[in-house]
Amino acid sequence: MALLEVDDLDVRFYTEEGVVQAVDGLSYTLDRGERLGVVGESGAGKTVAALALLDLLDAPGRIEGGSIRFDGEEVLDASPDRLRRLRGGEIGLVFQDPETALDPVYTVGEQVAEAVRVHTDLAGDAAHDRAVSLLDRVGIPDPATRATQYPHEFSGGMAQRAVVAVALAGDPDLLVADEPTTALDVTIQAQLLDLFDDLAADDLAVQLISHDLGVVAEFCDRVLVMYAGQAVERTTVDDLFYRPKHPYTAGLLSAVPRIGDDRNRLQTIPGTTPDLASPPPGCRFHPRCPYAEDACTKRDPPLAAVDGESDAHRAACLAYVDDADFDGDLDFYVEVDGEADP
Amino acid sequence: MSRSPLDGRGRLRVRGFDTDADAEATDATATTAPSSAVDRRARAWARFRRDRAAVAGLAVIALMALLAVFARPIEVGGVVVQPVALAPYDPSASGVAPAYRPPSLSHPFGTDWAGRDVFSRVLYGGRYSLSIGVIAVSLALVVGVPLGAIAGYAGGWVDETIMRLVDVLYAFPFLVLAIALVAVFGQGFWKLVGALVAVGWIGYARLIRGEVLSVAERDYVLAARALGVTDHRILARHVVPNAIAPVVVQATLNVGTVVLSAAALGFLGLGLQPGTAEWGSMLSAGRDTLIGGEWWVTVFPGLAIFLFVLAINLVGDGVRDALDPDTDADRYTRGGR
Repeated sequence: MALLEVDDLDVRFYTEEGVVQAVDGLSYTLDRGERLGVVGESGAGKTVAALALLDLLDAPGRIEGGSIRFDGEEVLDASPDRLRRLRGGEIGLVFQDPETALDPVYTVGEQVAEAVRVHTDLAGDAAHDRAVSLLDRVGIPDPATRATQYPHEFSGGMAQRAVVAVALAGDPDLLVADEPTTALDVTIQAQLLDLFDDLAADDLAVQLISHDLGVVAEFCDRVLVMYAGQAVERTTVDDLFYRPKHPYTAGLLSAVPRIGDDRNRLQTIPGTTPDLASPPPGCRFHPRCPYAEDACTKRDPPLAAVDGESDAHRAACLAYVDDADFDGDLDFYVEVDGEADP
Repeated sequence: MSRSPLDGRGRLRVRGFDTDADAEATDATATTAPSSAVDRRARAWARFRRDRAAVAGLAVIALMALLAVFARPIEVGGVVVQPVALAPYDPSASGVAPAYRPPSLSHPFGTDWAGRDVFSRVLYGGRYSLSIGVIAVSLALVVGVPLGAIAGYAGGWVDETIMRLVDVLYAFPFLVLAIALVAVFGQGFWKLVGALVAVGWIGYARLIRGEVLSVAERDYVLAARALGVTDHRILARHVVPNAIAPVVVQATLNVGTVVLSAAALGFLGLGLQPGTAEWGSMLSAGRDTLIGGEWWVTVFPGLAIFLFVLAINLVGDGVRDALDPDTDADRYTRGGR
């Protein structure tokens, strides 16, 4: 049994402009110790899907359907008490901006100790000692001194480590990191990824939300590509980068700038993400898809297996649906120069 | 189409930059610790101390408080706990001198219509005015802050109920409400304080509700929820401490306003019992004498009120500057002292 099973999750926001379908029929699983990357552009529903895991959505957002099973237990039916133990105790959350995720009026040590007190029987000095050892665990030098300092005395990278320490306080099985490296510069990013790498080696599952394909390539085992609230491709990291099957994934990959490229302009995917209050009919990507046909405007493609028998690689495109009225050919391919295809 | 300057110049490649030499230095950059931990309150206090007007105001308040405490001996249950008597006469003893004596050496502030020593009465009156100010504001905070914070954090019908009550109370002119309360419950120290609290808490409730609405949206509140911290703990430990600064400033400034309100009620004869040595009541009792030329009966209690309210306002401004995060900028110019 997988550690986390998300099945047909629906999240809607009831706004004045209408009902926004932020997450639409999202399904995925995550095993113990596995590293899943969730990628997609802003507004694709990555963060909303992550918050939904812990039932943290506030009005006007609501989970309208589907199920989230953690370790076989339904999260959406959990009692408030059970939910509180789940939050932080079994699923830890790391936020994008470390400077705002720490409360400015308490010392960093106190904030880690608070998380320790919530999820363990430790109190007082014991909780503080545990907090210091957690700060040490996430690689903060001189943790005893740093524990007595306030968040504004921490640099971005150190603050993000402290946020990770807070998330680890309840000894969770799953760490959900919402763009943990986006607010940091690349050297600190690399250090933090090393830290996650180190933590994941201890059988901690990580769901890494990012829009940085490089970060995902470096860290994850499997990837889920989201577009307009839906999963459009789900596969291993290798397949995603070397054998992308969905036109949107191909577009994303082609948009990554490379040093020494001989292109004059940065490659883009034409158009913008659709307004989720009134998504386009059929496939949500069809207005921007160079391969779109008539059929794409009529039918919303399911997440279909791309090579028939195996479940490992799935893409939501009519090209992989057998009975679809789709005649064209997705003729994009990945060219690898220099090295041999691994 | 614009031509890139890199066109036709091949890939960039740097040679001779030896990364191995730097290997042991990579982690050292992260360890440079910033300045030692300074408590927030300590920093605020340091900033407050630099504000001379505020410190002067605080000194005036402290002096007035000391004078009030040491004006007459204090007895608790028949035991004298404070034997000093700075005031030369009992403030309520009449006929210590002929009525309406102008200021002189034996009666520095003169005497009033009953032959009471105005100097003693002004000193002693500080006890009423200062304690009314501090107690009424504290109680108003005790009522207003939790109600406003709950309204802002809970939202929904809780918010509606509390804030509509606030609106209703706001719709009453302050004096009319206070007069009505005094008329119903009668005069007396605690009834006066009660009337001032009843109209005072609404301001704090409104102020903190607005702050809570914005603080509750911050990431660290979501982070605390994601940790499974209970709502009332989040409210008490994360939301209110981050929302309280404007309320503290407002409350400090309000001590002066409350003293003025108490004086106004006293002046209207709705404060304490007639004849009490409260500054407002003294003004009220002496108002006929201004025309008669006996200015000292009203000027000295008036001056006391003026001085106290001025001092409170100076302190309030100092507190605001000390708590305002924007003034943090001078940390850099002053070497972080």
